[in-house]
Amino acid sequence: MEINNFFYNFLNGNSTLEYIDVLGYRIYIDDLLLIVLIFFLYKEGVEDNLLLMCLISLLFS
Amino acid sequence: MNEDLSNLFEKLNINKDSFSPEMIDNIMSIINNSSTNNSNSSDTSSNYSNSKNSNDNNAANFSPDLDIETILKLKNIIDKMNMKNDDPRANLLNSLRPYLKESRKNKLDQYIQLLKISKIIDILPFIGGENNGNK
Repeated sequence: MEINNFFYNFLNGNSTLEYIDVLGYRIYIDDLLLIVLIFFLYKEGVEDNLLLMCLISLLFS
Repeated sequence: MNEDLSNLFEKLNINKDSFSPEMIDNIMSIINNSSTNNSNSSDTSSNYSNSKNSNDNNAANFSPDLDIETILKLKNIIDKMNMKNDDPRANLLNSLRPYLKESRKNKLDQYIQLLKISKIIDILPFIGGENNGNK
């Protein structure tokens, strides 16, 4: 139910402050988005190192 | 003189707005310096040929070679930097903007600028950079 509420609020643009607790770590929606995007680019074989560096820097900023 | 420069920009199809007034003043001062140095050297007699050579050398050392080709190369670089919708990487980062926190949005702008500047690195080999194979 928490995950459903999480995505419901995100899709309705309510807040970007919603997060999921995973092993004690708070993963916010934008963190999840960046992780998924980086994973997708990796799986697609994109070799744009600068773009990946920018996304990883955004994730850890 | 500004009218001449405006005509030059129009002939070269250069957007004048991409040059700041300070840059234009610097360009004009360099052109004026080189023209006065040439006029001074042409008025001297043959007895002063050595001094003329030294003046030319001083002029060469003092002012950089700023010719039409260099201006055209600068124009290409500026045009590449100003292309807004051409870079898919910047478009991808911009599409993430609505879903990011405010702090990350600021960083996003910095990274988009970084991507624009990286385009210059792609252009450098064509203007005699380190990878110029003609050496």
